[in-house]
Amino acid sequence: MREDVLRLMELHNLDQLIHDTENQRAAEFEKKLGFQMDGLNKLKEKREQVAQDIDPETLSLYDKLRKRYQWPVVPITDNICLGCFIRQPTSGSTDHESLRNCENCKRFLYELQG
Amino acid sequence: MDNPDLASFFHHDLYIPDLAPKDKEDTLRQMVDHLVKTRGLDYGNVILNTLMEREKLGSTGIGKQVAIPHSRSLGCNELTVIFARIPKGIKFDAVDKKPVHLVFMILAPYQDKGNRYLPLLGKIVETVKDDKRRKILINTDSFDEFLKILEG
Repeated sequence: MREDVLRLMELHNLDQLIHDTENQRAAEFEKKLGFQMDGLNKLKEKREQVAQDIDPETLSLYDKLRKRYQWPVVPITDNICLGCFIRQPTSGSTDHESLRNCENCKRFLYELQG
Repeated sequence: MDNPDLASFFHHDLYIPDLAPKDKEDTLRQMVDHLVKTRGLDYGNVILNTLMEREKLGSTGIGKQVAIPHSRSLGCNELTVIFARIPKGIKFDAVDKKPVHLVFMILAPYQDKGNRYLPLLGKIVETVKDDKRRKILINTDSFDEFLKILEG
């Protein structure tokens, strides 16, 4: 697995964690259950560290897709992007180790098994 | 979500009755390793990193010897619960500072289409806050008995 794919996945996961924490209703629910939720600034610092390790062009596209679709990294299964559900052209790259974008929506794709 | 639904989230192959971790991080690592080996997942490190980041937000050790590390992650494709019993207990930065003996790890895909993730979290907390049921969960290494307790 290429490092750039893993970094994007980590960035996405951090953005989602930050998003969930900033969702007042969800955060209040967790606090009521007894979970501690006071480290949001640490998460934001970590997010900036991870973003710095991603090349600027890729990060720029990630941020653009984030604004457009909310979640810019999605699985691909049976050659179908699970963001827009469009089948990818079979003539395209079959190198599953490389960073790929959906031919239609441009979201970043990763193979998900299991 | 009633108790029979809660039991349906647990599976024998993701039930670890005797984990012996070195510390909190090792607890999470061993449980994720178990999941990866059992279910053939590719992204163990992605899942582990997400859980560690969630712990930076605040410990998921909710007291009464219980921790419920949880997160959504691109590394998993369905709502999954892995359970570990730690007979000797482990320090988990729990809110009551006491060692943790029961760990319920919940992993959700990045999109929770059925909106089941947070209700599941709530149901597990409700179950383990019952002193009688929690004591049985701590003392049993039988998956069948474990399920009976969850079923109420």
